Amino acid sequence: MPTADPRAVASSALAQGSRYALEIVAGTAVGGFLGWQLDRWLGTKPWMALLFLLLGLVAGFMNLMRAVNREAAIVNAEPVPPGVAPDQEGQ
Amino acid sequence: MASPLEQFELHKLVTADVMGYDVSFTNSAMFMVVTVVLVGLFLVLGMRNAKLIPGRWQTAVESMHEFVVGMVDENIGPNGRKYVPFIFALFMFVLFANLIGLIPFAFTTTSHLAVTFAFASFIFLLCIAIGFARHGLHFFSLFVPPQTPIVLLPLIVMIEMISFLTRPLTLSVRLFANMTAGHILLKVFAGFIISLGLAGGIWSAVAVLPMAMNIALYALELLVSVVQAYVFALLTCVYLNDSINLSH
Repeated sequence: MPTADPRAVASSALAQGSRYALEIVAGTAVGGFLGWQLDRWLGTKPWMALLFLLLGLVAGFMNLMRAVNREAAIVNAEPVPPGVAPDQEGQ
Repeated sequence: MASPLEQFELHKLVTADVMGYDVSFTNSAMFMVVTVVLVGLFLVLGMRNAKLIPGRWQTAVESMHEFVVGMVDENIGPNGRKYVPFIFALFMFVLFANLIGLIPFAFTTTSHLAVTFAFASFIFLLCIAIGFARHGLHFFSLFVPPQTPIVLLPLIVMIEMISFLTRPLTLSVRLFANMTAGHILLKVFAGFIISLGLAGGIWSAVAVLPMAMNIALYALELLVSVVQAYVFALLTCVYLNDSINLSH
């Protein structure tokens, strides 16, 4: 694997990080909105809103967890280059 | 002093009305036209005398195109090649709109949620259309991750659907929020320079501080403009990939 430009790595990390942070917020918002609409349809106020708010939050965190697992798999698969102590990674 | 939000106001340049709908040509629309014209000039003039050994301008155009091709290859694979023109056009438009917005007195079209959400909802509908065209009803398996226990299936499908529905929102809000926040910050610090500079005495000397801050912020905004254009194109690739290559 070629050594990546640290600035490119940093901006890609910035992009990824902001993406998952936003997905948690948007997931909760969309879930809450869906539940609120369902309540108006079914007349089950406030149960659907509460349920879907939670589901939206879970959806946001599930995306984050998947991304973390994917990154972890990449990091674990990478051979440690010679001369680099394992605890110096990520500095 | 002018409000930092004044830069986002729409002004009608040509008032028009079609069947009760306001379709006036605004300053936002004008800067969209400027963006398209500049992108067109950049590409056409750069490739006018295309040579085997490219000059500076041709290299700039080619490296941008290769960047997008690389991104599509990495995220979609060989099936994504025919979507390169779409992604490239999207990337160039957003990049140029962001950068033009940084020129003083220019209007930032991407700082309006109406604009970014129109893009995002078009991409969202396109992903659904491509998904159904390529996979038919099998496209619904997007909502069923592999190795899901049957007991959890209804819950997981619901969560996956909400996560799918957030896509147009996250895509549009990210670009809009980044551009709007950055431009408000620039205007607020610019306001500090003026008010401190006019205060007289020792305060005028202090005005150098917000000035230095504004220069630093400007560099940051340049980075944000490029990164957000890249992210917008990248996420479009990621979403298209889900529609083109269903994983199972």
